[in-house]
Amino acid sequence: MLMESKNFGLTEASFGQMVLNLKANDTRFFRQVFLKQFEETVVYVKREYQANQEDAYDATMDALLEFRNRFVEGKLTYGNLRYLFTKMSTQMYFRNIKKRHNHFEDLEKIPQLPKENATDSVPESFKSAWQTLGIKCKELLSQHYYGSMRLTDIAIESSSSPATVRKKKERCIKKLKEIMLETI
Amino acid sequence: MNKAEELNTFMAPDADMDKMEDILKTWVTKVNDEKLRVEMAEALAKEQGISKSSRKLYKLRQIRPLLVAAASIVLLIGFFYLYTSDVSPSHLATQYVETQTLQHPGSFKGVSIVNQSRTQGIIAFNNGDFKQAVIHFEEISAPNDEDTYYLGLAHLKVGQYKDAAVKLEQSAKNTARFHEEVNWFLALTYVLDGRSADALSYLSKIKKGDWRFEDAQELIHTLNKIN
Repeated sequence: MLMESKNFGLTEASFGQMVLNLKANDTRFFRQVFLKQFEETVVYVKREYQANQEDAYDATMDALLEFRNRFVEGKLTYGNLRYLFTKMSTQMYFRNIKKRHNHFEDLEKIPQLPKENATDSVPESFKSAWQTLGIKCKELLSQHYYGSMRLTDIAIESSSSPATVRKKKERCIKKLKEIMLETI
Repeated sequence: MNKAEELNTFMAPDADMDKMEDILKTWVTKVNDEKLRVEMAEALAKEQGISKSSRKLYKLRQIRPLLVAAASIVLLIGFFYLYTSDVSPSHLATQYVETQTLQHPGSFKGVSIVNQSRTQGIIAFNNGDFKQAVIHFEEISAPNDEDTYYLGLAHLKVGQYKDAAVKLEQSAKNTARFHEEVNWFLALTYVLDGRSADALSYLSKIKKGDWRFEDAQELIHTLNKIN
């Protein structure tokens, strides 16, 4: 019971299931668990560091995305997730503040610096091709690259062989490049 | 590497595979992260009244019983592990061979010469006509690794276990491309050909995390019971 309270009510088994879901790019369970902690964490960052609502909100959201990433990469395990989440939200808050500070310094040198956001470094041709790409390809590429799922595991999940999945992946990337070429 | 350099590297016809994989991983992660960020922001606003600009718009209304889903999964897993089968290894292997959907994904990279026998073999294979697939694959004058592997599977499907073993062994020697599949299908072939020791040897090569690991463990368990 103590461990569960340190891990947002998750048992070790349900934590394992949540990670498996995330690998398959199913975020519903993850959202159910972590969004319940959102307000508590925002309040903590505001109270402890005198952050405003916007900064505390962004930091908590960034921590959530980083948590998902570390779960699928196997870099975060069941233990004391509550503590780590609070700590990571705090780190994200300071990282964002620092980034903004550097950004202001840059602004003095460069008159029109583009507004930053998470997908700014992604080429438009890719973003648009991704929208057009078929749902099965998006699912496969997301499971492999976003969920860090091995092709062998995707094969098990989809009741096919690894060779078939490898071939499908090759075809999806080829298709993606073809669509991108049309927009470049 | 800046955005333009990444794009050029990714689109280059002779792109370095490792670099291309890294770039694609970064892009796919960013677009999916952005999508998830939007979805979570919407859920926070709708379900908890929390937005970026204001602390709380209205009180929390819903608490969902999320552990119901987890409990169901735990029960299912429990039933799976509690179930012990008394079937023979060959019966189990037959079941695996019969229920395994086999699809030839088409020719791999580098196969540019159009070969009518290969094409007909692939069509027959994907239609489940494995007898015809064997005939066409055997007609290929210079079979590649892929032809050998799929010919082995076709032999297995029509019950020609000795031929299947020869082709799959050959495939295992020539290429590592199908190694996970070959370990599994050779094991099934040997079970069905009555060569339990060879079957166990291949089953033991299937490590945790490999394709068909759990099934291999079940087959090992069944084989050991009769030995």
